[in-house]
This record gives sequence, structure tokens and C-alpha cells, in this order.
Amino acid sequence: MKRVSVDVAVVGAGPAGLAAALEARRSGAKRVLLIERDAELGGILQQCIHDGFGLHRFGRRMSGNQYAQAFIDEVEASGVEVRLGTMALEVTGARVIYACSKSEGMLEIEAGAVILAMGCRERTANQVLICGDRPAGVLTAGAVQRYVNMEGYLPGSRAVILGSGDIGLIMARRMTLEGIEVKAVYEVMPAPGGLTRNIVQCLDEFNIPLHLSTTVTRVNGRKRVESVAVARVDKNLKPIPGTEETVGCDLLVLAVGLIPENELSRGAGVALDPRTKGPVLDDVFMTSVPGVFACGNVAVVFDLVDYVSQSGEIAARGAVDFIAGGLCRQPQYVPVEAGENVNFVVPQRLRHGCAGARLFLRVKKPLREAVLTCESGGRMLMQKSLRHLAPPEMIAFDLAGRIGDAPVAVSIREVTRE
Amino acid sequence: MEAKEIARKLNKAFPDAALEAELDARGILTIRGECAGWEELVKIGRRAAKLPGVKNVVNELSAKGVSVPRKDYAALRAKGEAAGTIDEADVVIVGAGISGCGVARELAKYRWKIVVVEAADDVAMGATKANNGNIHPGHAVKSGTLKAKLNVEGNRLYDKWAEELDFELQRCGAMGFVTSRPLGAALKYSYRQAKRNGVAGVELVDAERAMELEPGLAKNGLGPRIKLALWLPSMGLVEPYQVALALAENAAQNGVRFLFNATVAGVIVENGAVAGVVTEKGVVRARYVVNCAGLYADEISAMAGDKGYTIHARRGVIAILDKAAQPEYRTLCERITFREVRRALEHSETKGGGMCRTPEGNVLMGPSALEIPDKEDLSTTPEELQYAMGRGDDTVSYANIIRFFAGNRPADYKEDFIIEMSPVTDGFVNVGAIQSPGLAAAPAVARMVEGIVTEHAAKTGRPAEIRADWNPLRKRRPEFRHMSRAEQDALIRENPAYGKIVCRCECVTEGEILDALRSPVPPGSVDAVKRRTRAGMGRCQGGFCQPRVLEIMARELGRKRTEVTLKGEGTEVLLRRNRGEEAGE
Amino acid sequence: MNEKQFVCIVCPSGCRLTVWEENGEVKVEGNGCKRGLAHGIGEYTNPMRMLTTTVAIRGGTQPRLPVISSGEIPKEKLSECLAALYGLRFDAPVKCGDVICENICGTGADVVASRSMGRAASKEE
Repeated sequence: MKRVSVDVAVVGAGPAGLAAALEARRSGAKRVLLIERDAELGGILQQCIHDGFGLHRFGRRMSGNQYAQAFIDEVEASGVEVRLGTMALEVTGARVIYACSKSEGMLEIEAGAVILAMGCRERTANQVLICGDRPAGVLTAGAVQRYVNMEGYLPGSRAVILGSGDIGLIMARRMTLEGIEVKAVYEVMPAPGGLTRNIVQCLDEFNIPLHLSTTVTRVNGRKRVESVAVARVDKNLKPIPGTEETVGCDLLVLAVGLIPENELSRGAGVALDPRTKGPVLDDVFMTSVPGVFACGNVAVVFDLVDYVSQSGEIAARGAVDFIAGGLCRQPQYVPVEAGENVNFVVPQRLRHGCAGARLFLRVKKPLREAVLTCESGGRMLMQKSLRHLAPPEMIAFDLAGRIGDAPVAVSIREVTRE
Repeated sequence: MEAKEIARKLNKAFPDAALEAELDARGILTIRGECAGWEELVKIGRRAAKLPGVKNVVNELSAKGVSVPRKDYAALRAKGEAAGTIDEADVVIVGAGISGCGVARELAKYRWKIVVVEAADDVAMGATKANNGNIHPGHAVKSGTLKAKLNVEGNRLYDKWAEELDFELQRCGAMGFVTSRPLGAALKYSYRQAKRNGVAGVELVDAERAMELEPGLAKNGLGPRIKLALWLPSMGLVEPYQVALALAENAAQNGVRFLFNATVAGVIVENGAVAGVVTEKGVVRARYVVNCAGLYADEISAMAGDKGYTIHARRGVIAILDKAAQPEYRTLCERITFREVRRALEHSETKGGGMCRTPEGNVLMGPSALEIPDKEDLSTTPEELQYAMGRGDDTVSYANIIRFFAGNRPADYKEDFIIEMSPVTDGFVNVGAIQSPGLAAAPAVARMVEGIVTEHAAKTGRPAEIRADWNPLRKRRPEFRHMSRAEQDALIRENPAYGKIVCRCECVTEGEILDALRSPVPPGSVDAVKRRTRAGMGRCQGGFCQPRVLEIMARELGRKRTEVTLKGEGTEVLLRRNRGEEAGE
Repeated sequence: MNEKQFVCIVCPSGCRLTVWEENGEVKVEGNGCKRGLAHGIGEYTNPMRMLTTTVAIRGGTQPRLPVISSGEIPKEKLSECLAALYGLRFDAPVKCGDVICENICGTGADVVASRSMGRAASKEE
């Protein structure tokens, strides 16, 4: 078995891994290895041909591909070692990675620090308990996106989409432009899951109706999808009997949620946060296993790729610090608590004495005007006014100032004006 | 009892029905008329089958408001007859489920030309792939029935099959325990039945012994509360479609021909003896026809002039849980509560279930049991899923479900196996009504059919000769995920295709997919590849690997990607290319 | 009085705009800021869109090449532009930013490659 020894090993070359590998090199790590199971770099961005990426980072509206290319070009020039077609099978708590490829067989990679950047997978029809037949023509939005944008095939001609998150909305537009009739988008929640911009540009633009508080309960069709049954749901998201309708279609597209892909993390003994489904992280995005870091969608599902890249860079700097011995191996931690109106905050804890951190959070409900506060031990660490907050739009902010030993409570208090 | 008497009795017991009955010399009771609904129709049939002098029931009742879909055999038959004779064999086996594949494997040892004709596009497409893979000990089957005898015998013979055919068989053992002393009577009843049926190794044990046999009972604190437990060491676990595949591959290795997408639409009878079958692909002539057609066995038997039973579908839903949801027991262990005893009495015809696991480590929940009129209705409903999930304890969460599906059991009204040479049509062997414990009984079923056919051959002056070159052994394909890192490394160096992981959830390599495509019974669809390799069986259910499997299949089979199907004709995954592409690759 | 309704997408506020023509002048109601006013007028008089799609590419590492317009193009010309692109064929290699189609359909915008793509090494991948 081939044995390789590196300073920093990055698992996954999507936007998180690309940014992490690059930043690790820039921060002085000598041997940085980036492993990617696909044939090319870019991860999920390979299939994101639409624009809207990079507004924060580059000040332009780019496609996912262009955003990825910016990093890919730099990675290729930076001396990062890239191994494509290489799948990580195991990450141990001792920072050893087993990965295999056609050309090298099984690799045993010893790393000074490991950065996990495996992204996420999609929730399936089975997981949302859609009953009925099990025909051809039921696919997740990401799978449709791959077929249409990368392989050049259309998996249906009359589609129904379940889920109004951004991926569902983007695919509604893409399928329409490729000649697939999108009959409607159904959303089980009372509010859309994606950005208003996407509702307007992907649904309204093409007269695709959006039905809120409605879900798909059943698929019909023994060989190929022939129709789906949709029903309105009550406030507990349970289908209301008597409200079922049949909608003819040959393709059911599921955009019903993303799940961080933490199988490797679990194997390494990393503690997971049930709210984010990703690892419990500290201010340098280190997990509960010393020297193992996580960034991007495997840590928490982001919506802006710019933030994904930032998380990769934070993890990379932490990893380089760790190798240099500049990071305490078993630090004392202070929890970050999700307070009023906050669904979750990442990182979930901060090291005593750290000089601040970049934090990412999601609100529980839409808020027109609010104040973000961070309090610790009776002190107000920061306050910030914010407007037009909604769950689909992650909020990022910097918390400056030395962290003491009291928990940090992050809250978003609604401001109501008369 | 006479037919008139039977009809009167049934009409009295079911006042909403208006029926007539006919009883022939064999004891086959045919019931005609109308009744209130499908549930009642089934109840009538089962009640009739229990009456003295009734060997079996042909149920031709119609149920109010229910239309039973029927296959259009006439059109298929015309198509097959037009195609003419496509093969001549000594034996035609109808159906490539566990029974058909088992019979094929055993008969392959003789110097006979054997053809298996199957309606679907792969082996194991009916009840065989839709059950929970239990090799039952045989304690829960009614004593004195054929299925009880074959269950126990088959269970015993499974080790030999597993060894010769190299499929995974885990003798995990089963335990039922009670924490309330009065319920011990239920265990004692099962114990006596087990003894009567000849189940090996069955024991009634105390709490201490129970905890030794099943360490999980000490861990979860139930152990010390046990008043009595029934221990059945012969319970085993398999992946049923893998067993059928292993049997089929070994049969094919030994010269058996498999014809898929070949629905039997007619049976040729000449001078009171079977002469072949008409499939939609053409006619296959044969001296013997072995009817292993599962849900359709009654229809095939009728085609052969022997209308001796009716199959009614009983649907079961099973949920598969994420591998991360570890089973709490090493054995198949269940607490017998009063509710369980009542359920077992109400549904005495359905076997086992509850909370099981597969050899690969997924927990299975279910099955449920629902009588349905449409044999081809494999749809799931929320109620059935709820029933299946309710068979475990309260700790099982819907959030763990990665897949749920339905299968239809081929039940007759006698609720026993029908394995015999037809007394009406010589050379036609019925292997009908094989529902649970059909999987466990399969080796014994195959042996019994082998006996029937070879005895008949000997009696009619053409005894079967054993082939000199019969190879009973079949080796399984390499399973990358079960190898050590060093073994994996060596495998990849020998063949780089094993270095590319295609299904990341189940860790299945391109090499394994290529192996499967080169099997003697090759897969023709994405699902067929899934059953052979596990690619697509994980938590993402093919979300990641399906495009890659599709690409490999198209390349290896020389097809366009738009021609690759999910599970046979009409289920193409991709409809067409993007706008602006030329037609074709 | 040809009234149209739009949801403004310039910022997350999502103001609901009502835009109409009066005496040769375009009027906007409902906007919360100047950018919204401009957006409303633009959407009414000459709505523009980015074009993103894929085109067929020969000999590349993937069968499709993602492309993007260098700037926004008139919404009404989108179908025409897409149709024009679908008839084209390109060969790998291609560099990100390479002009695939200059001044597409006279819009003044180019369509460029959205990524770099090399030649397929061998037919095995």
C-alpha cells in the first residue's frame, strides 16, 4: 500500500476544499494534498451553470463554473498536490486517511491536519415518505441538474417539483429553458424555501405556479411516472384529507433538503450537532477531534458560495496553526448559544481567549427589522442592526474582542415600529 | 360435504353474498356469484377451504364495486404463436423466482435441456426480492402442512446451498421472550409446534440463558425481567435476491437457458400431456413444464387445463432503515406481548417480521399484510407503512427510513404449498402458492420437484442421467467493501477498475459493476445491477451513483444512454438529449 | 395605461412595484429606493437577462460546455439566442472566457465559455 505523508490533507475539491487548499498553501503549509473523487475539480459547482455567484467575493455576478474556475486556476498554479478520481474511504482519529484510485490503488495518507470538505447529499422521496408506486421518473433536483447540465440529457418532459428551496427554483427555470414543461412547484411550508430573487426569476418569469402549504403524497405509474397526488397540509404539515388532487406528469423532481455528508466524519469519531447535522466546530472550524477541521456544506448547509469559501479559509488557517503547534490541542471551550429567533449558529463553541470569530447563523422566521446581539457574562459584545432577514438567507458576521469564559448568547431581537 | 351443502353454509355465514358452489372428484371447490367486497371474498374462500372434503378452492366470486384487472393473454399468445417455435427442451420452468431458480439449479445436474422462462427482465422480480430474507426455523408453521415439512427440511439444507453457491447466510438465531408469566403459554405452544415440526435445537430457556444467547438483553435492561424465552438457533438471514441469483448463475453455468421478458400466455397440451409453453417471444416445446409462476401460478395451471386453485395477492410493505440505525440485538429477538399474540392469531397466515436485519446490516421493519384484488398493485400506502413501522418498539424513528416498498405474496385459500404433478395434465408440475416460508423451504422444494420429475421420467422409460460435468459450485464476485485495506490494494493493482468507487454509500466499485455485467445471468437494467452489486441501495438511493451506473451500462452493453432502463422496458431513465444535440451518441 | 407588476430583486426587501406609462412617461410606484425605481423602469421598457446554458463540445472531458453571456441581453431575444447556440459545435480545449459567439443575435453581448475544459485524455473516463 502506498504511503504518503502531508502537512494538510483536504477531502473534497468543491468550493470549500478549493479555498481551504489554496489558503493552506498561502499560509505556509509545504505539502498540501487535495483529494477529489470526481474526474475534475469544482465539486457541485461543476453543474451550477447559472449566475448569481461571487457577488460578495468578486463583486461580479458569475456562474458557478466561473467561480470555481477562479479557484481552480489558482490551485493549479499554487503547488497544491491534486489527486483526482480518488475517493476517501476512511478518516481515522489519528489523522490517517485511506483513499483509493484506479492509478494508485489504496493510499494511506498521514496528515498533520485534515480538512473535511465533502459537501452534502440530497434528501430522497423515501425520506419524505412519499407513497405509491416506484416508477422511473423520480429524481432529486441535483441529479436532474447533473444529467441536464453536465451529461446533456433530459429525464422527463412534464415535471412537477416538490420543494421551493433555491435548487428547486433554479431547476424550474433550467428545465423550462431546455424544453421540459414545469407544471408547478409545491412547497410543504407556508413560506418559500429559497430567495425571493429566485422565486421571481425562476417561477414568476415563466408563469410556473407555486403552491405553498401543499405537498406531494403519492406517485402513480407502474413503469414511468404518470401523475402525482398533491394535498394541502395543516399547520403540523400533515396532509388534510379531502384536499388531494391528481397532477399529470412524467417527472417528479425532489428538492426537499440537503444533508451534510458526514459518514467519514462519524468514522473519525467527530461529534456532530443534531441541528446542523454537521460537526461541532470551534472558532477555527476545528472539530472535536484535534487536527480535524471541517468547512463548507459538510459543516452546515450554506446558501452563498462566498461564505463557503470563507469557511474553507478559516479552517485552513486553523489547520496550519495546528501543525505549527500554535493551537492548543485540548482547548477550554465556551459554548455559543442560539438565542431568540436564532435557529443555529456555527461555530458552536469558541476557545477561551480567542480574539474573535466569524459566525454564521440562520433565523427561525422572516423578520423585517431586527437587532443582532452577542452577549457574554453580562457584557454586550456587539450589536448590529439588520433588515429583511429570512431563514433561506444565512447571516455572517464578525465577533471581535477577546472571548472570556462565559457562554456567548447570540440573539436576533425583532424591532417593531408603530 | 356436498357442494349444495357447502354453498348453503357459506351463504348463511356471509349473508351479503349470493354464491353457488361446485365440487369435483378431486375435491376442488369452485365458488361463483357475488359478495360484498374484496375482504369478504377472501374470507369466503378461506372459510370454504377449511370445510371437510375440500382439497382447494377456485374462487370466481366477484366483489361489489371491485374490478379485478386481467392480463390480456390472448394478444401475447397470438404474438408468441406467430413467432413459432424458438426452442425445444426437456424441461421448461415458468418463473425465475426462488422456487424456479432452485428447481433449475437442481435439475441442471441432469443431462437435460432446461429453459427457464420469466415474464420480468430479471430473476427474483416477484415476492422473492420483496421479503425480509428470513430463513425461518419452522416453528410458526402449522403442523402437518406441506410447508411445515419443507420449511424445516429447507432450513437444514441451506448450509449446503450457501457453501456450494457462495452466498451469505448468517445463522443469527431467533428468540421470543415474555416478561409476563401467563404469556409463557404462547411460547410453550410455539415450542410444542416446533418439536412436532422437527425444528432442530429449539429450547425453552430462562432469563440467564437468554441473556447469554443475546447480550443485547442485558444491555437494555429487559433481560432480568424475562420469565421465559424460546430460543431457535436455526433462524438464518440471507439477501433473498442474492440467493436466487446464485442459484440462477450456477444453473446457467451448467447449461440452463434463461429467457427474460417472456410472459407465458399459453400451455400446450397434447393428448392429456404437456408439450410446451407459448411465451410472448415464441413457443418452447418441452416434455415437462414446472410451474413456479408465483402470483400467476394459478393462471398458468388453468392454461394447462388444471384449474385447481386461485391465487389472491396479499401485499406486504417493508421499510429499510439507514445502516447507522444499529439493531439492538445480534439475534432476531422479539418481546412477545399480548398485542403480538393477538396479531399472530389474527394473521396466522403471515410469518415473522417485526424488526429484522439483513446480512449487510440494515434493519428491516415490517411486513404488513393487506388483501388486494390487483396482483400487480405494488404501491405503498401510509397506513401500511405505519403498520410496518409499528412492529418495532417506540425507538424506531421514521427519520431512519431510507427506502420502503411493497411486495405481493402469492397466497391460495388453503394457505399451504401446492407441489405435485398435475393429475389432469401429465408432465405439468405445479409449484404453487409459495408464499412464506417459501424462501426457507426453497432447497427442500427444489429437491421435492426434482424427485417428482425424475421419478416420472424413470417410470415413463426415459430416466434422467446425471451429467458428468455438472459443477455444483459457484463463486461469488469480489466484494470490495468487505475486504481489508491490503486486500483492496491488491485487488486494484490487479484490476484498476476496482479503484473507482461508483456507489459511495455502499462502497461499490466499477470493477464490481463490470463483473456483474459479465455474469452468466447478466443484468439488463439499473435495478438489476443494484440487486447484484448494492450500487444504489444506500442512504442516497442512487442520487450519486445512478448517472455513473447508467454511463457504465451504456458503454458496456453498447446501448445509447436513453435506452438504459430502471427496471425493464418503458422505464428509461433518460428520455432524450438536450436541445441542439444530434440524435444518437 | 399599460400597467405591470414586478417584485423588485435588487435587494432582499422585495418591494412590490407597479409600473405604467402615462403621457409618454414611465411611472413607478412601490419602490423603496432609487435602485428600485431604475429596476422598475428597466423591467417595463427593456427587461434584460443573463444568458446561461450549455453547448455541445467535442473531444472535451465532458460532453457539455457551460457558457454565459458577457452581459445582460434583452429578455425577448433569449429564445433566439439559445436557438442560435444550440446549432453550434466546438472542439476542446477551451479556456474560461473564450468567446464562443461574438455579439450574439446583435445584442452587443458575447457568449463566453464559463469554464476551462481540456481534451479528454483517453476514452476510458
